[in-house]
Amino acid sequence: MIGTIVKKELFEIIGSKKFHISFAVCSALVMLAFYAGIRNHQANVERYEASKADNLRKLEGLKEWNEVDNFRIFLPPRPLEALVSGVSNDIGRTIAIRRGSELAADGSRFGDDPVFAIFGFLDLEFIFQIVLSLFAILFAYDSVNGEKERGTLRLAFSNSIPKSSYILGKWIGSFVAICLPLMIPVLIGCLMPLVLGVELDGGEWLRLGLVILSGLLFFSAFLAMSIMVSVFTKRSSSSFLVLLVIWIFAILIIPRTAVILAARAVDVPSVDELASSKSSFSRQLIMEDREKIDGYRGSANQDMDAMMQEFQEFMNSIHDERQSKLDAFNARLNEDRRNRQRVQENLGFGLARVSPAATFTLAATALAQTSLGQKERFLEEAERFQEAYKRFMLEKTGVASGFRMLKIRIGEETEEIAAIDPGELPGFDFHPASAGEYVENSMPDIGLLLIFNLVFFALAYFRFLVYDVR
Amino acid sequence: MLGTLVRKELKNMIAGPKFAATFLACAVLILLSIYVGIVDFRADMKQYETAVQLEQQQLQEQYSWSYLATRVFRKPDPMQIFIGGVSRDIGRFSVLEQSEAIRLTGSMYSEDTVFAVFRFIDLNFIFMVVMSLFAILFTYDSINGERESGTLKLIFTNPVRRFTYIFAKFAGSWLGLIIPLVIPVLMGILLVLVFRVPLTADHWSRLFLFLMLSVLYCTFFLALGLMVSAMTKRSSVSFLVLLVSWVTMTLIVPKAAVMAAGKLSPVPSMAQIDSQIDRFSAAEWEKHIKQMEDAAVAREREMEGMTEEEKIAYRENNEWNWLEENDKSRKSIEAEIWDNSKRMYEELGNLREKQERLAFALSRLSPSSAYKLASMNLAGTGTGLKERCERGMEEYHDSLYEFAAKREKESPGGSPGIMVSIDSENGLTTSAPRETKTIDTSGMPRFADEYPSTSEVIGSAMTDTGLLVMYLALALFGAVAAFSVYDLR
Repeated sequence: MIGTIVKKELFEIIGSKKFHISFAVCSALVMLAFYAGIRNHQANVERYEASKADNLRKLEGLKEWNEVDNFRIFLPPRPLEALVSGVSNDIGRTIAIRRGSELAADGSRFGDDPVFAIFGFLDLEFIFQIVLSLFAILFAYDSVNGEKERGTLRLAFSNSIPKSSYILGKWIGSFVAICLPLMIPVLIGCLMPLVLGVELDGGEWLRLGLVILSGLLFFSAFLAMSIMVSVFTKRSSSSFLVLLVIWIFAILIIPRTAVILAARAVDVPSVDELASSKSSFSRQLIMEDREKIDGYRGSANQDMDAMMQEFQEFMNSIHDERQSKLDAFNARLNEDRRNRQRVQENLGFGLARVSPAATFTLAATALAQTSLGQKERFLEEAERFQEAYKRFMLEKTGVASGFRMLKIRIGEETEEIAAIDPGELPGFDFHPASAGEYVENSMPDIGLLLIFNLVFFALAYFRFLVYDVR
Repeated sequence: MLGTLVRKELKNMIAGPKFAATFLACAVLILLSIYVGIVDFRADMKQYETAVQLEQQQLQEQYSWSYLATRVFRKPDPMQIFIGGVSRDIGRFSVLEQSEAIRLTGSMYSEDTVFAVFRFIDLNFIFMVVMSLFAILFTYDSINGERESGTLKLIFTNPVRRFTYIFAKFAGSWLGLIIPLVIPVLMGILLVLVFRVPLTADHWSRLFLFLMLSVLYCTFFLALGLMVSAMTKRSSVSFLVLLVSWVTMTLIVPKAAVMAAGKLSPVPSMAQIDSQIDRFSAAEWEKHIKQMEDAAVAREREMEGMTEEEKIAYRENNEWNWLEENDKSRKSIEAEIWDNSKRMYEELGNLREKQERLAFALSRLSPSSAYKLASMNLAGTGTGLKERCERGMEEYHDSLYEFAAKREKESPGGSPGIMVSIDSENGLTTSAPRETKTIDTSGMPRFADEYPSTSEVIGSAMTDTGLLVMYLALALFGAVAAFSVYDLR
């Protein structure tokens, strides 16, 4: 019996004008999102490569490693970022590596090119979240009360159909009717990276698949909710309005309100306050060191190189001491801010998860590594790189700090000094977390989406059992 | 007759569930957005004030005017409560150094990324996306719905002119949409007053203009709904057509236009320009060192043939002049680097402007973008904000360093560098002068962000407003034309 109902629902939807129009729109959008995303990714890769090359080129012709200043590393773009952009355009994507100073990412895409921030990018997550949910409502808002209004509900139940199979058939039927055809543009979209020459590794394919799966779960949750509202309301026009209001709440109001409530509940010190206390402390330390330097007297009667060597060792030792004090101080401040931020995030996102739309966003961005974690990851990787950079520089220059000496040689034969080879610098390889880790991070949200499905359907189901079909 | 029809339409609306739903959603959204906007603005303001104060303190702890480095902050403007624009995307401050180019960094979204996940909703967004949807909902079945229910035929058994009828439809639904809007907006304005948001007369007039613009925009969607409804037989079809046009206009065209412009008119990344600037400055510093070396050699040559005592005396006599010479050479290098950076950024700015012009021209195909661009121009929170701010900071940079140079002449401070000398007699000696006197920052120029005047702002929003009027006229004309040949049966 249930098969018949599913089939009936399926044919009814597929035969309707509503379906033809929305299918055409969705297909166009999904393919456009894939195409635009991939093209955008390619442009990002070009920019990334050009920035990296220029960053090395600027060091060409320098005579001393000590002159290297403002050496930058860049966060490499990944194809999934362009499909689910998350916060990838908001976070800083480059970090200047210096030996002493603290690292901070800057150069966010939206900050550098605000023209893109005005309307944002078209991505897959956006299409699923806004457009598909709207279509889910459109297809299911009258699934029960509409049939009643037209009198077909009574007709259907003149046959010996159990109510439970009817409602389940409705859900499955409308889901299959919309999702199966939708898979065509999605699959074409998935082929696009291959056609356009963008490589995804196995983990990325898996994650892309999971993004699409969570999109479908989100869609079916909206479908179940629409059926539920349709069972709970008398007239289809009112169920549509109710759903529209819910849609606005779920997509626009709840997520934002949740984050704002969390911001009010948990106080996080501003970056300026942190920066100010850090720089005051650092200045204090430097002043103390200057006294030490002022009092420096090297052992005389040695040859020049030995004296220089001795002095450098002295400078290194005070630098190391200062740096470790400063690092400890900064780390404490940073950790405090980070912890508060974490509490704030957890609270905000926890509240936001009341809305399936927010849950979907969190799942998709976790999978595409465009969630907040990416910012931290980049900084961690940069810190690791900084260590390698420091070691390299110490080896090359003999000094630990980044201070630059103006060497003026008087009465010496100025021999031609060979330029440094920027290629010797250690390269920065960004190691993203393993695909498994991302999948694991997204699991709670995917699970929650599943629960939304079950709850909405269960409500619709039990209500329908006592529904007056006349 | 017209009055009766409008009344009928309005009564129909207000009694229906559509009105209640719109009212509820509007009230919650508008009040929430204004409240959040206010809270947010106050937080931004507090952050700004603290930052400026801390910076001032830091300045007062500095020892020398010669190596002055500070940060300037962009002051938040209350218009961001209603029209956020890019104000949270672009940086809040720029580092100010003698030779460092001005560049806004540290955007709110990059620092407190948790807010970037779902972004903010402002009044501008609510009108652009939500209210337009409601407008469609109000009129998608205004003609064909009446035909379906058979009331259309009935009405035209009376002596009603078609034009009167469609005008009454339009006026009735317009009132029905505006009433649920006006009440929460007025309440929102009350909130603004209660929270004492510092709005000047200028702000109020801009806010008023923005609200007028929003009404114009919603009216366009009402007219569009009417037009499609008069062109189609069935209300379900007209709803779908309208939904698709809504998605296209509010969501797809603007995004696609900007992305296309990014592709068609590419702009090098900031990082690339920075690298080129770094490269230039490295070469300049190299030159500086060479000059210093040459100068030192020349000085050494001047002392040729002197006895050791004479040399020491000569050195002591000339030390100050030499230092000044060195410093002058450094300053001129710094000025050159600054000019070069400014030029490079200007070139980048030009490319960016070209890209923006293309992006906006393409996006204006959609009335929604025209609306958004016009309102951002009104609020001064569009892409121009960054440009304007950076120009203002550049001017401030010049006046600050002029001031610093003047002060330095009056009360020279020592250099913060460390002098290391090696000679065969004393071995390696260092001197790191310990300044105890900090600089006196009284009378130092302060950075004040200049906002464009209302007339300027109106001028820049004119194109888009005109375009919106044109779109509205087209939709209205289409509606009247379609209805004049509509089959009433």
